[in-house]
Amino acid sequence: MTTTAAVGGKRKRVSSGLYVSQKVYVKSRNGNATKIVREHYLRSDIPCCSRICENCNDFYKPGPNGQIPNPILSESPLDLKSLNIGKHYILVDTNIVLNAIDILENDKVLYDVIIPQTVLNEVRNQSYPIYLRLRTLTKNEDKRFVVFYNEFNGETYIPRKHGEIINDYNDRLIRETAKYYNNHLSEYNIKTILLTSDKANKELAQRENILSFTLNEYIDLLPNSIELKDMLPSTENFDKSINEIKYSEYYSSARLMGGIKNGSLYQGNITISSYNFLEGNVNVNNLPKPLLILGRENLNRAFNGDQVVVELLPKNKWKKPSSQIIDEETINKNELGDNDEDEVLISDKERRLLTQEAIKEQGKDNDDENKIMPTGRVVGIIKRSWRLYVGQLSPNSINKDTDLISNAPRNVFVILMDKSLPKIRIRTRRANDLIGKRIVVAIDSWNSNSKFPSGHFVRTLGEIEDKDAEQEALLLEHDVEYRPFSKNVLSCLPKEGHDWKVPENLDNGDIQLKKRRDLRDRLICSIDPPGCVDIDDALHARKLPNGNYEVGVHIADVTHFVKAGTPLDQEGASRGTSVYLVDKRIDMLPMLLGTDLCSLKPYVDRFAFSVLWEMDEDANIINVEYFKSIIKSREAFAYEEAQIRIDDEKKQDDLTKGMRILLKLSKKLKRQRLANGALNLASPEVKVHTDSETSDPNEVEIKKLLDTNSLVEEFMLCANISVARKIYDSFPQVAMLRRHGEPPATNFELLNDMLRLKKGLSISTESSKSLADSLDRCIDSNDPYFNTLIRIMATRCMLAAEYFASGNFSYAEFKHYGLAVDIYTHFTSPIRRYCDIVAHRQLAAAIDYEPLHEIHMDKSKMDLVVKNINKRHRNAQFAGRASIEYYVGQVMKNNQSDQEGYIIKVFSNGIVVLVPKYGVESLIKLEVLGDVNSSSFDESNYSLTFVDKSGNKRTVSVFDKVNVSIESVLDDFTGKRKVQLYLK
Amino acid sequence: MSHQELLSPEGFRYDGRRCNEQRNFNLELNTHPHAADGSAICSMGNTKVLSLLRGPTDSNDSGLSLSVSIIQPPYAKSDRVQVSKNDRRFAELSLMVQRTLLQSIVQKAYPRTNINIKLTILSADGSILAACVNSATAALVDAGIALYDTVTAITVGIHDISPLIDCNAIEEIDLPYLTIGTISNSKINLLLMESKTPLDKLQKMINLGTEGCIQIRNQLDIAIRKSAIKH
Repeated sequence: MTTTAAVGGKRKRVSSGLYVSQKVYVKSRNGNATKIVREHYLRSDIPCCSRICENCNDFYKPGPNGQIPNPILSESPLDLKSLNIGKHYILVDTNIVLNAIDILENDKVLYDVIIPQTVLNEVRNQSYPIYLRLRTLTKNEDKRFVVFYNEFNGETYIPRKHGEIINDYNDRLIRETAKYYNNHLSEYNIKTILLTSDKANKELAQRENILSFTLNEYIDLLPNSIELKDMLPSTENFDKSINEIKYSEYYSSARLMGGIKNGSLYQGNITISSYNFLEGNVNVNNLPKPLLILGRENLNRAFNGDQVVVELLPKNKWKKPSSQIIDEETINKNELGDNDEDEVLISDKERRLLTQEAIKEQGKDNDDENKIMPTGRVVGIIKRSWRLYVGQLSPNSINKDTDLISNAPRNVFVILMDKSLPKIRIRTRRANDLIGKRIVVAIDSWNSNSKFPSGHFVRTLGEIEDKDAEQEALLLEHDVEYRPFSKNVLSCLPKEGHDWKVPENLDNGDIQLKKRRDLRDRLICSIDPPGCVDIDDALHARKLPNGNYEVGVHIADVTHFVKAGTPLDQEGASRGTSVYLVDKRIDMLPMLLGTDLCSLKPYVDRFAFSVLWEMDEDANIINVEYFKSIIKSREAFAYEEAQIRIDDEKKQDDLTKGMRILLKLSKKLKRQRLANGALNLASPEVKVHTDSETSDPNEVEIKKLLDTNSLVEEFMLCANISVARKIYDSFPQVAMLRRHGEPPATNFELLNDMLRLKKGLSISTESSKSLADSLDRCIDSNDPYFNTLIRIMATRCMLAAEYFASGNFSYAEFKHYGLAVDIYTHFTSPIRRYCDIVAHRQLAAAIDYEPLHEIHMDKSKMDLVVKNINKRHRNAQFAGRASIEYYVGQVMKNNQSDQEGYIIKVFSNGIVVLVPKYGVESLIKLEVLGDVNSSSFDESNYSLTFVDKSGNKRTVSVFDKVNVSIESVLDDFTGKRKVQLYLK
Repeated sequence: MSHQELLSPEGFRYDGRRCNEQRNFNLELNTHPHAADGSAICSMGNTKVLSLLRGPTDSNDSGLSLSVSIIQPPYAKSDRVQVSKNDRRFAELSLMVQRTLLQSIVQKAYPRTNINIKLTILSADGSILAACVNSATAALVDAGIALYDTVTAITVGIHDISPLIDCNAIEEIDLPYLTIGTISNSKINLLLMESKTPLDKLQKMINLGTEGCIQIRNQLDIAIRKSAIKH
């Protein structure tokens, strides 16, 4: 769809201050020209938004949210004495916003900015994420950004000339706005400066007597220009000097589209292997297995997560996935940012490595042809996954002798925390300040003649290994929103604050309050990890006169406070989940709700959403009821406390008796569940203890499991399943559910092969039941940990569970494989998961408590919600793990030790060892193991033979139990402290 | 995401109007004095409807028979599609217009009478039904048919929580909207909604719609007086 011409017509007066003109577009689609006429209303009541201007006072009219906007631009904006500029506002053009959004967001510079509507629309069309960031800026009153609707203003709108191209027209519109502002505010002596990166536009502006600068020139005028200059996007600076490599150019978009349509090209998201940054996978719809992309040339500038278009390589180039570990460190260690001379040598080294591999592959062609995988080449990128990245300056890229003295800008490399990404070239004057700091960078471009992408500096987080800096880095890397809640969000909280109470009079005319059931007489208690403040759930049980049991699960009634569609709800939906780091929690909802008003604290009345079952002696569900309630928890136990209380024979009060009933029933529930084929999987998770005073980590412990843990878990599962059925019943199209797909048998091939070869065992993947049983059989009588090890490895072969709206799958696919139930959702933790909030609202609607808000009824909106919370859930998990990894590294700093470990992966140039005690897993490279040249790798036996440092020949293979010494080393390449293992 | 922003946070719609602003409204009576007994052209923005009325004439039926037909020539829209004569949508629309008008005609004054209204959509840019009703009402007045009251109609869409009056075609595609027609004491005698919206927003839309109808009625009054002076 291309707009070839738009010509404005005559103006016609509609009423005072309102004119209409016609905009005529000629649109051509498939070569047919179509004329489209649209109305365009011009008005005289658009405010300039300056506080100083009195003429516009009458023009502030309530917006869609009913609030009357205030003038925002300051009455005394920045006053620049140099060049006689004086007080001024800034007007930006589209390219500035698109390329330098980071500096616009910076709080040191660029206040009082006017965004013309023309720019806003152009930005919106070009990049929606940047548009959203720009919109956030306009909402932030501190930065004083305003949108000026220049195309709706009769004084600034100009019709398009015949044959004028759209860019020239937009530039003309922007200049017209600058002229208007200069005129409009001339009596107050405030000028408006046009910032543009387009030279022609700047010249035209100057001819029309508009002050105009490029961003660079403008920053130069500022007193703090030096520190700001680094943040400017890189432009032509790099291009001329660099000629390291020639990537093939991407195909034209027409060719890409055509190719995808006729099936010669494939589209998919690329994942770069975490062991080898020169190997990527693209999941392609039409192929059963992911397509392999090998080598820099074939990856062709793709980033991890980009949406790319690939073409297949000829069959003689098909290969096996690499069995080598390659990271940038080894290949490009000594590159200087400016220095190109080493380049040839290094590329050669890289090429040698690849050729070596290729020869190996060809030699083996006949032996195992089935392992050869089709390979492909990236020929186009549909959508970049670029965001802000955290990294540090590569110490090698700075020539310490000369560079640190001079202050001239120079090129340096930034190594990103994420190892699967290439390093980024930035240009900075402050290289010496930035060494040893965690910094945030943005990527601007990746030209075909540059080996690395170029970007610019955004800000520093702090020293490497500083706890706060590392934490912030971690949150940024995993895209976790950690800033405090905005005013807008906090205004949705109840006004009483911490004094909010359940109303005493339950008959005060509130219809919804009347629907609540009063359960304050039930002996309810909560059982949580020690120190838990956000108590989501509480339980009770009692014997009924007919011999059955009444069991109640009570969940915090978060949706009473978080109403759909409010800013609070939107914030929760976008955060999706709370994130738990070792010593910090990033809340999904403000503290007031999470830890007080919603939290089911003991001894106080709280609103709850209850699921009440009648169960018989064998824990069969006879009846189930759902209702909102008022409860009063009698006690908040920690797992251990509860266990002690239950075990204490002397305690015979009703509360303890209730807990014993719960325990008894939970064991029966668990037995039933396992009999149905629920999997008992394992992960090497550990808990880090921190010193209570210094909050320094000092101990690592494997998470312990008590009976009471599984007590709570069983009833939560039970509640989730019951609720899932109920909401699916009421909302078959949009019910918020969670599924866990059956893993394809191919996922287990490798593990099974290893088991068969090494241990003579096998696991069956026919059903979750047979998998569970075969996992139980994987026992090595000499080694009790072996079973857990297999479980850990089997867990990694599984698919990830995901949220979905019920309309997107057929009932048979709802199945939760791990739990072996046909339908499942998350209902029991609304304080920390957004899925549960949706489930609460849907359940409330299903029981006629309140009508369901439309955003949870509209399937397309639900799809967006689901997509987001799946992503957030994953990121939160990764962030949590990364945090543990960081702290384990810190603990190891002081505790070097020797431990037992297991080999879980063997490569031709290294092995991966897992140490159960600390839950750490690390790669040991061949260089560390021993002599590189003497090694031989037996792929079919998963074993590696090498001569170790002391000269003995040694063979290791997968599942071997080995002794390793654990050390914590600071990797000066990435600045990450990590655990390094050495084979004993 | 490439969809246009139909209502900006500052409260402007895609074409520069605010939520409660109607499009350019124009009504002319007696446009075809020779071709018809009553005629009118009503334009709301780029939507333009011509109505030609024949009648009252004799008929064999016992009461008043009011027949309404709507045609949309291919040039009404930019993509030039031929609308078939038996198009269900237009058949439904004409039934709606017929029922709306029938209520305000003094039927007992027209026994065994035929009134025939032909509506031609000269150009279509949203709010077709509203424009048809307004145009047909004007034609009835022009032909001197006895009416209890005039009916005026308008559309209201809803964007998130803001009702938007007088939707154009772009807004009608993306938003739930209703068409409302009222007589002078704001009694509703036409209400049509074909999309889904939560019940609590409906009242807001109706409130804005009745206000809009009053404004249109004022403009209808002016147009009637103007045409009366001319003759």
